[in-house]
Amino acid sequence: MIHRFAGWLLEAAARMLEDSIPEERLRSFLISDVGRLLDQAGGQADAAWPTWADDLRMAERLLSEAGLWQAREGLPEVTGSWPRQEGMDLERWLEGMRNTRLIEAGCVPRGTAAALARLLGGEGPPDARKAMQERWLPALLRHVELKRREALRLRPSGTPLETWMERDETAILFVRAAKTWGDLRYLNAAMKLNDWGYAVHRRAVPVQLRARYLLALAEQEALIEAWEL
Amino acid sequence: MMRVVLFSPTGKSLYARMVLHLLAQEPGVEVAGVVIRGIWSWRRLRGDLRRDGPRLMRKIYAKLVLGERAYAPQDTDSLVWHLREAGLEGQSLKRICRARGIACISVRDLNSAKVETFLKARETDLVVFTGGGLIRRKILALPRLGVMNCHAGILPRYRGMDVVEWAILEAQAEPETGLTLHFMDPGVDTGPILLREPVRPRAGEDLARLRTRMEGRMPFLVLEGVRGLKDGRLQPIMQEPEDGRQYFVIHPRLRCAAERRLAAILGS
Repeated sequence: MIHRFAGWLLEAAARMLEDSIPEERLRSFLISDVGRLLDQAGGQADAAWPTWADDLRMAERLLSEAGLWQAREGLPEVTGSWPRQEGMDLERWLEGMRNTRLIEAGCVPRGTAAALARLLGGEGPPDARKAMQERWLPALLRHVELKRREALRLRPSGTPLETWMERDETAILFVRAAKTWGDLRYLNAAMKLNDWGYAVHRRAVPVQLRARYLLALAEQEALIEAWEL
Repeated sequence: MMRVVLFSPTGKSLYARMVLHLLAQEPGVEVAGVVIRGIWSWRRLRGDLRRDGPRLMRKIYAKLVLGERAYAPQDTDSLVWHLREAGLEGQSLKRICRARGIACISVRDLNSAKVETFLKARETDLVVFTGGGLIRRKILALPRLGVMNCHAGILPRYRGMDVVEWAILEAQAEPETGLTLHFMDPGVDTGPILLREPVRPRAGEDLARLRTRMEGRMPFLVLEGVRGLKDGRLQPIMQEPEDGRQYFVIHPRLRCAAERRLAAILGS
């Protein structure tokens, strides 16, 4: 009897602590929100097509390729494969990395995910691409896995919006690393980042943050479909 | 005579009890002591909770509340079956130690000064680790031969956590699942390898059943390793960092995918 009661109590505690989001809930949130925000963006004049809506178009394209979504006609085409970064300068980021480690005191430099994604995509000098593959991305993976919800604080410190933006972009980066190298560990870490972000992003957050999170989710779900996981 | 000290994560660990039983009967081996890590420490609980999340609650339930009751009584591959065969069912490590006159201490942390003193006083040749967290460099350096651990994965390829699931997910055909006996070093499963034993999934098995069978084999691999070291037949083989990858706690959705993949592999 006492064992059963202890079992019930511990199972209840486990359910309370559960931070992974069921597939159905995540996909339903993703699809309904991409649709809702695209409606919102589409209602504006062409000249006023918001930059955050590019993320949604990318998400839509991925979901459509994965067979999870019917792509809409007549919306502006998106060029490039990485979300737009205002003022992102790869050379400056690499220069900043010359005399420092990627992760210091539990913090990463601003723009790390975007810079590493560009290196992963083949940009930048060969020695930087080698460092990205052999040192920076493995260190980032380990950092996220060990620090979990406390991972990816920014240096210099950032607002919660900036920090979540970096986390969402790191999730996108991880999915792309998984796809490029066939390494499931990166998809695993991206899924955790996206789960931890769910509770924050489903609340009223700035639309550009919500759009980037939806893109991260779309990247994840498209790869899961492609790999039949 | 080889002097062995056993490290145990709890006072009722099935694995530690079976290892103790096997080593205590082994000619040429003296179990010089047993060190039991205390269960409760808020700091450790916080760390484990951060790493394992809700799984920790289920682990506590299975290991500490259910213990031997967590296993099917007729499962001849399980640790409980082997314990029952040895007449050790329901006995704590302390009780087994008392009955055999083996020194036994309880500590909050296996890296404490008390453990250091205990190992030094016993002129320990070998520590057999059956769980209880990370072991620091100063403790690793004390036993003449080292600290031995049995990892539930094939090294050097599969280091870290949940490697049964990872090996199945990554398998093209037959998954590379099994056990590796190795000396511990400050890295994660990167120490010199002593022995490997493939434990491949069998028809009809799920992940839990495969793990139960692996657990059942672990004490016997430890015994084989101790014998090999005692006779000088085993030579540790160094690992290179690039020979393997470190894996982390698997996401529940990927765990389900591994379960499906296992069923598909066994069904094909």
